[in-house]
Amino acid sequence: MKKWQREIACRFDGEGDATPAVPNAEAAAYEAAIRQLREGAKHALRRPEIADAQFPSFMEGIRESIEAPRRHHRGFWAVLSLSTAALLVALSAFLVFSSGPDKAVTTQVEAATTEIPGATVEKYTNEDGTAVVWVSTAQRDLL
Amino acid sequence: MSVTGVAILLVALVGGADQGFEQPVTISMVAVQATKENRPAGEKSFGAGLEAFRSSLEKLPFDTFKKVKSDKASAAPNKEARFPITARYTLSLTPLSKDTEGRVRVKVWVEEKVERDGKKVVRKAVDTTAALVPGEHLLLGGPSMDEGRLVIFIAVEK
Repeated sequence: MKKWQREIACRFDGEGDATPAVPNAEAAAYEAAIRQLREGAKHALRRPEIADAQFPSFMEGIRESIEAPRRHHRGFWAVLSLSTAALLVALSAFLVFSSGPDKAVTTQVEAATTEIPGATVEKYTNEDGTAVVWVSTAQRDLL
Repeated sequence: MSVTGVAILLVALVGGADQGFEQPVTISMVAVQATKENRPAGEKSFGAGLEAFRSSLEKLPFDTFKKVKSDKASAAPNKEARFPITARYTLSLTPLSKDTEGRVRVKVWVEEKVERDGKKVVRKAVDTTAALVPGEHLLLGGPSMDEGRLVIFIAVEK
């Protein structure tokens, strides 16, 4: 920056000598350029305002943002947490129902046959809980 | 806790269906002859040593019960134990495995000696596989014995 330009800038801001150091066309153009720059800067610093005509659109935007459903994040960790919780519930249920004192363990007949010709075999549990395998034969067995 | 860890734990718990079964078990048996003696209605006779089996025997369509044989023996896993009852019948039993609920799986059969075409042969009058709760009885019955029927109680002792 030249000395005469600095003097013009100071004078424009209200500082320094009131008389132009170099009163010519070049200085006048420079001063005009500074004025235009300062006016533009003032305009840029102006705070945004919502005019009355813009307010309905502004509120409509806010309403849409509030009412819009949230995005669901079904990521890996969410699925992992759910799986772990399900497995823990299953494990707890298994331990409770497999070792509970109320579980009835009874004698169980898996299979029953006979080689007596014409005889039949039945398996059942009688009234006192005893497992029974009974062979029914004819009065005289067939040999 | 990771999913893998929980899964491994579950598999380990569910997978142990048959526990290790290496020790012999003690088997007790009581053989009974059941007959119809035409006693008055509702009257039933139980011979000595059958008190523990009365509730099971009185459900059978006979009125007289007599103990024929009682015995007890140690049976090793997958080894056959034999209990001769009479000249005609022999009880055989083989422990197979033990399940997670403490039941002992056994193969049990009653051999019967009969004559067929002039030759003595052996057949299985009863052949069964069962999972026995220690202390509970399994009743095998039905084969003819003189004028009555053979009834056998088998138990794995606790």
